[in-house]
Amino acid sequence: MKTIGIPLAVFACLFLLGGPDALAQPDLTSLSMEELMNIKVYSAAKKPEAIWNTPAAITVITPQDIRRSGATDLPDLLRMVPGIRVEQVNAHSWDISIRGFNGSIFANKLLVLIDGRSVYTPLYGGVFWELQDVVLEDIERIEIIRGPGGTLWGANAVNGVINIITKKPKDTQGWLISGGGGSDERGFTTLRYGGKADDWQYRIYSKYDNYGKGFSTTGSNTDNWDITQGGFRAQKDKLTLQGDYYQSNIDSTVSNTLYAPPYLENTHSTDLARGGNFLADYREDDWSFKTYWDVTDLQLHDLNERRDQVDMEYNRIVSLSARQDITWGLTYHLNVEQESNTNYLIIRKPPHPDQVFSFFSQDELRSWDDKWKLTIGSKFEHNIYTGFEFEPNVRLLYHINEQNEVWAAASRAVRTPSRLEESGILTAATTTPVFSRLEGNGDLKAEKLRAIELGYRNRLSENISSDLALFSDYYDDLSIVDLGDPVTEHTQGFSVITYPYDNGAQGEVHGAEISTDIRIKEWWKLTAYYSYIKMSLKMKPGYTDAGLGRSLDSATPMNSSYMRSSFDLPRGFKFDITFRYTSSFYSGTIPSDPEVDFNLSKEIKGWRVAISGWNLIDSHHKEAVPSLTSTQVWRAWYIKITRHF
Amino acid sequence: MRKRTLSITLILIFILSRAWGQGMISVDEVKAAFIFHFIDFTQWQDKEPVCYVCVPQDERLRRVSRQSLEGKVIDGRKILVVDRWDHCHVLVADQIPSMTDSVLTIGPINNGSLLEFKLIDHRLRFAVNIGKLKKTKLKISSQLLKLAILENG
Repeated sequence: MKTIGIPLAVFACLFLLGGPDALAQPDLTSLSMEELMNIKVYSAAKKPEAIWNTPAAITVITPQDIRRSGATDLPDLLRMVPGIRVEQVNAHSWDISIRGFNGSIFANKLLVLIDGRSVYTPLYGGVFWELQDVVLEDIERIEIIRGPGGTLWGANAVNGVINIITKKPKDTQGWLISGGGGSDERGFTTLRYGGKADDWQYRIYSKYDNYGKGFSTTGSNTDNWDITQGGFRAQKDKLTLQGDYYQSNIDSTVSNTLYAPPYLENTHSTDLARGGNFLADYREDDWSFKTYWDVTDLQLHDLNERRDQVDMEYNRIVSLSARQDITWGLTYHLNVEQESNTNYLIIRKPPHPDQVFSFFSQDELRSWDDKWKLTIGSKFEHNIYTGFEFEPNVRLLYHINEQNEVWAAASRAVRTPSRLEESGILTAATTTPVFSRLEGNGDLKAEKLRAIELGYRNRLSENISSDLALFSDYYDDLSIVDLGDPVTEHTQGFSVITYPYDNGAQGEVHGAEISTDIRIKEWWKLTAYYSYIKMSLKMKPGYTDAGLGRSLDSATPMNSSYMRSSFDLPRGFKFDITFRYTSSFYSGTIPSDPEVDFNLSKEIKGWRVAISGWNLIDSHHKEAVPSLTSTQVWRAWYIKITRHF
Repeated sequence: MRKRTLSITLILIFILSRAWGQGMISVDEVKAAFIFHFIDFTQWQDKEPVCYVCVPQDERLRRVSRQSLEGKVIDGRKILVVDRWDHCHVLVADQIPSMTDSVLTIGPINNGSLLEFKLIDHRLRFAVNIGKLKKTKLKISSQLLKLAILENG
């Protein structure tokens, strides 16, 4: 309680200070027109674009980027964003992280929202990317915010937020039919119809995707899968209703834990994952209310979980004066989970209903000429595992002129423990009667991040813009498996070595991201980025350094770069060619990786035909740290036909 | 101790930030005041008790207008600032929908608006579209026209 007392006092002051000033504003309507014409005014900066005027490292993916990238799923689309690491683990799994901490266990500090609905699963603190099958043509934009977003989005928006925003039904009227297939994604089809009924505008859609298996040296892997999804979005004036349902069949390679010889059994299994959601959103000018219900039902070989999440959010913006707005909001989030235990994984029931209450408030101040913008705010939330958490930030933006702006930010963010870290008992077998067990720790504290960011943006002309972000992240109480102090039990002829989770690591991450957009000619545009990251994590005093810190450091490649050339060719052909590069990592286990993708398309009378090639350099390559379930990514191509009418 | 220093610094930043904002007037505040006078100098044919000022695009102007105009009464009509394109008495937007004969449209004259704000030498002026004025069903006072820059859009 002591820790949140002071920030609360600060906010009380902010509100008090805000009051009298609002009253002190002169009433200009009492002046005559002649007098008004003599007032010297200062023009506000140009209408803010999505990126300009934002004191954070933000990238926006537009529908045009989506069309021209040739990507058919979200992970491939995100490869165009600086500072993001996308690793395809096998045909149906991706690990995606921002600013470090990649790898299957550690990609847990990124929050992903689809139309304001969180798809971050508290189960392991990540995202089931294979189950987020949005119709790419219906996306209005994707905002990617690198760096902490805890003040607005709460716990788990530690080093980034991905906000996927779909189009309003009025922008998706009529039919969309698309289909295609290729070498890796064997077949895909989408059918969408947008119409009107009374005062409602709506769209309904269904889609199906079928993916082949990844590459492995033995060829005996089974990681092919498919997903069928359908849904709707309807809007009447300020009210939006939407929902989706999906079902996915996933072939997996499984290692079963057996408490009798041979202890470890590798088999194949076909898993079922399904789920759905329903969301209602009502939006006035100065307030909004949103509520949703989301169900994920996983029937996997090693895990059976049904998770229901209910969320309610109220947000309000109050203008205290023309130069000061206060935004505040209240959120309630409920998690209800039902798990059935397997030999491999047991999850203890939460001690109380798993609910999170939160409040945030942010004050935005603009100077008279709109050259300076200061935002200051914090989130305060309570969860049943770590109690009260607060996540403040201060952000300052300065417009040097119409072409240049700089910003700086200092923030604190937290990640609350996942269910696995908190209450899981995961037992991995070897071929001998010795089992390794990772045991959740009910006393785990939240991971903490203090971050400092600096940014610079310019748009030298209509044709050239660039963006630079520098960051220093200081992490504490990072949750790790404590390898140093295992407990060994011998019972019934076998041994179990138990390693607990603990807040045993800390460290620093420094990095830079630079990106640029250049329109060289009317018909030729260049997009490029380079990002650098250096991780230095170590064990906290009292924990044995079993090499975990170093292996965490090395799990993220230090350098990555990207360059896409977009050509508008004669006869309506559009051609995009992308060069991607990541340096080697994991002590050379994953070699440096240059890749080339292309997309060629042409539109004729409502028809669009596209041919795409991905990962053209090698016939297959490793993207993720090898494990039992990992496979390699194929060189791939596909053809896609789309019809709008 | 450290936390207290931080809080004090934050409060100081806040007070300073407020101080620097004092006394200067943003263009949106002046625009809102102009809109108030435009309403005063215009006669509409309908007899509704409310004068709807629609500001569907410029969020900042909408909020500022709300703050300085809402609740004010001109000629027996109460001003309401709304975020929509139809059922307007005044419409501030970059594009003008059709059927706006009885709407006081403010935006680019090139796009068919009746009035346009102009920033000249850091001072706010306004232009009137004479061609459009003849076709509208509004009665606009000559006092307003005297102060306007006249254009034919």
